[in-house]
Amino acid sequence: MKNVVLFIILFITVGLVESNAQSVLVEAESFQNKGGWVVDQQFMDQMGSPYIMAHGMGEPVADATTTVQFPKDGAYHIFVRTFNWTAPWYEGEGPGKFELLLEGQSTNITLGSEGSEWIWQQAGKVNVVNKTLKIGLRDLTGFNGRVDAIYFSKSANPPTNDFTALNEFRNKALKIKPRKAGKFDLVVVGGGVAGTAAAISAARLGVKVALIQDRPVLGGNNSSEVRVHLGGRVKVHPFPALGDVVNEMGPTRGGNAQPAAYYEDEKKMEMVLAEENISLFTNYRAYEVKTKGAKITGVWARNIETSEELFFSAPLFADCTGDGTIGFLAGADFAMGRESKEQYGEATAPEKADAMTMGASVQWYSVESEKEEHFPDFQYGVEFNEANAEQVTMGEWTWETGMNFNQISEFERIRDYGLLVVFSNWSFLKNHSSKKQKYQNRKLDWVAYIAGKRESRRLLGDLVLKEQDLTNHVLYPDASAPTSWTIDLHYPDPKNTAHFPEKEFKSIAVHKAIHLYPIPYRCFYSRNVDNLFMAGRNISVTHVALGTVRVMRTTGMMGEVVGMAASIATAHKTNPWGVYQNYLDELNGLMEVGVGKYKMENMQKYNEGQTLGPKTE
Amino acid sequence: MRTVGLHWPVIIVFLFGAIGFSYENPENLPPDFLDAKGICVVHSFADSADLISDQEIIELQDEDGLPIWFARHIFKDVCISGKCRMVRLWLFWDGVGNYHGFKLLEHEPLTKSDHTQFEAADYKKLDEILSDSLSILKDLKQEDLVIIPDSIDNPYELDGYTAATQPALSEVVVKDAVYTCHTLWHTVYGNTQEKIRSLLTARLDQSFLEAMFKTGDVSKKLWVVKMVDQHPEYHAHFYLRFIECMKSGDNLLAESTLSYFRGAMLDDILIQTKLVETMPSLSLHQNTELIWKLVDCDLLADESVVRLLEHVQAEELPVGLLNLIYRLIKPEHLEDPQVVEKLADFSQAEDVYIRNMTKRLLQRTKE
Repeated sequence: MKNVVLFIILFITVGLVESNAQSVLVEAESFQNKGGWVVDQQFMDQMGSPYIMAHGMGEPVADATTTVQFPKDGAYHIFVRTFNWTAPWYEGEGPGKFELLLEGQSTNITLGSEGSEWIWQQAGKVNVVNKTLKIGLRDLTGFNGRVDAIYFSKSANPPTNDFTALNEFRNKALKIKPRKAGKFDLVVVGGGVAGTAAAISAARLGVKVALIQDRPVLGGNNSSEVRVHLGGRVKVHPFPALGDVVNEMGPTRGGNAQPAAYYEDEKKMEMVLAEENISLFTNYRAYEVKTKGAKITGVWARNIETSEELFFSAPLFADCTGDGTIGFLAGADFAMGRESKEQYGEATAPEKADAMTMGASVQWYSVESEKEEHFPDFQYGVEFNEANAEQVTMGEWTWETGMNFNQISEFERIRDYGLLVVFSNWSFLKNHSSKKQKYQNRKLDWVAYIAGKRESRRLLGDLVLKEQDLTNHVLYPDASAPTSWTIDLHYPDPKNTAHFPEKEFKSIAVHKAIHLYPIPYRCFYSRNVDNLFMAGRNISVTHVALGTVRVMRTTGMMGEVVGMAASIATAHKTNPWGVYQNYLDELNGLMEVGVGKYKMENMQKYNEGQTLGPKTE
Repeated sequence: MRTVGLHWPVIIVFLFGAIGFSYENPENLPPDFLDAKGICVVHSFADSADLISDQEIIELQDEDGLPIWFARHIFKDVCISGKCRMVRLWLFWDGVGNYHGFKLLEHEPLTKSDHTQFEAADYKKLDEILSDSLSILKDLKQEDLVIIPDSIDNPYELDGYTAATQPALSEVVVKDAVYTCHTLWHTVYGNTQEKIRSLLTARLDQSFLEAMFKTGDVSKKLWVVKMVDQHPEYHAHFYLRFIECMKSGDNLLAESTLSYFRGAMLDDILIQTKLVETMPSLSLHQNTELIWKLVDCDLLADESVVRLLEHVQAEELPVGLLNLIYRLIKPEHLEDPQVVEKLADFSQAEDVYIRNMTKRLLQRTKE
């Protein structure tokens, strides 16, 4: 397959370790055999690294093991970087307990149950012989114990916990040297629905694309890792050819929090791998950019398992990260939180601006078993009782948390609170509820550890789409991908607030119906980073306008438009603004034709949402 | 059943209009069903929850003894206080017990809380409300319907005039007639409907099901599907006809017959084969659903796998379903030369998506 590179990581030597005469650093995510532990990269921008986590939903997961090479035999102090993830809500020992195994034997030191933030926890000493040591991690609870790294040192002092200093320590210790990934016309960062559609669209129009995705699967919130179904309409007025790619790659069956098979991950992957112009880099997370003047010239990305680093250069970049990470790193203007009514004159905006956003969902479901199923007592600071427990067997989008927290800097806490309430509520239903008989044979089958985020940074473009544009149907000359969903804004559920003030985990949606509205193309590129496109929830809209554009069929169509614009920019050696300024007719022409490869009728007749339909004059 | 000396329903042959139900005929009611001719059968019905209304259900049967409709004369209070004016009317259910319409008696119009008469639009609205088997009224009690004024302590003192309709309901009920709507909805979907259904199930046997199905009436066909679903002993006799009905232009019938085929039933090779053969005549949505159902089968017959691949080749099924079809293919299928041949074709396809996915499938199934 020409130019198509799928970086599936098979780092089969000895795990990623640093070694010098005095010490050895083992990144936990590089363990050769991860057993039942999962790799979590969601917070690496905040804590410096991916980590592995024992996400067993109350049942201890299988051991993770690896073999470490040492430069010298002898005695080493051992430090494990971990912490008690329930510390924000509970003062005692946490539930994420695990042990370190050395040559298959437990050190008998319980780890993961203390510390209110990531710390190096002492884990004893080891005497290394033959310069080799087989180590392992044994989960004791199935309740999300986590390990960033393991450090063996001749010294009794652990490494620093200071973010910057620790990053420097890691880079130096691991001797990471980025290599060039290649040259591309367009680098798309983020393989959610928007980014995947952008990459396919551009590739089909002849653009050489690198698609960087920080998970092993594509689809983002629509992947089997998050399990939110597609929403909104495709192939509608005024550009009925937009949405062809979404239709081709998207799941045929709707439903939130359903079994993994519903989300058809393999279809999205195969659709991308079928494009000869796409080089796909799964498991890579972009973490730094190189700029020159107002342009991005390159992006560095790190493998979430091996820490291998790649450098991507291109004349054009598309930020489809959701968090607007690339724009943020490049100094792009952005907004976060709710604008005041005065700022844009929006009827739905609050009087005063604030930091509130829509939340992130930790979805889950249980299944009926043929036998009685035990679930451990789980009480870590949020009490559930007959009056406040949710008497349910599954939780979908309404299990939404973190609206009053920062969806980027505090996202680990937000996700963890989502896990905490799912486990606590379930524990109450299984062990203490007067109706526990009903739940006796039920078992948690899936709880998301990748949280489904709705809102964080919105990168600002030449036009910021606002509520009145939607409600008054203000059409702009650069009208493009149509949004069809209502203005659907989420707030803490008042009933949940009554029971859990300032600790809400359920949400309500407030809808305002609109006509089909074509989003202006100027919302899809940065106003101050010259060569940066955006597609997805981080486009140029107000908080209120985000309420409609954020659903994934719409973000997928944004991606298609960005891919088309990138092809025009590549052909004419211009930038996103240049496309608006000089080649809008050409873009309109592409939007009218679309980039569909297969003549398929709409295969996704689900969750299309309420709409007032096209506006008639 | 009303007994007149014998323990049999009273049977009267009559032209319905001739016995004079139709005194007032508000606009917008179903126009034709009262013109039907047939045999009237009177079933005695001891309704302990409604002793004032007639204690009988009238059934109009066609010449083959199949039900055309059922009717009951209703005379009852609409609010618990007894202060509201009583309603008197005929309610009708179709031949399988679905709401069918209502008929007023001469000089007995329906009235509102202020005792003004219903207008034509109100009757139309009422008919829409009664047609909605999932109405919001379903789970509401009378005391949920209105905002009780502070001056009233006892809900039994309440009538529709002294209390305002709950705002959430005002859009979905006839204005100033919330009690009437609520009472009639629960009458339509209450004991009488249950009794009608029990009358029908008492006749259940293959010939009755057959006769009902042959009428061609969609409601009756839907009823047969439901009954066969509940009585698998009739499955063998009907399933091929249900597969035919999946092609129906009536969406509800097409969907219901598709829903009928599920679970262990799909492990039957004959059924699998018939369903797969039918696919080119079905909608994309139906085919998608069908393939999802087959994914849950223990093992699909080789012949069905081949046929599915042929459907894709012939563009009778879109490429977008190929990944789901490949989920159906197990290592055992690769022992069938026809399956192997088809997959070999696909692995050489011009389209890269098809080619890659097929190669990966072959690799996976070999492992």
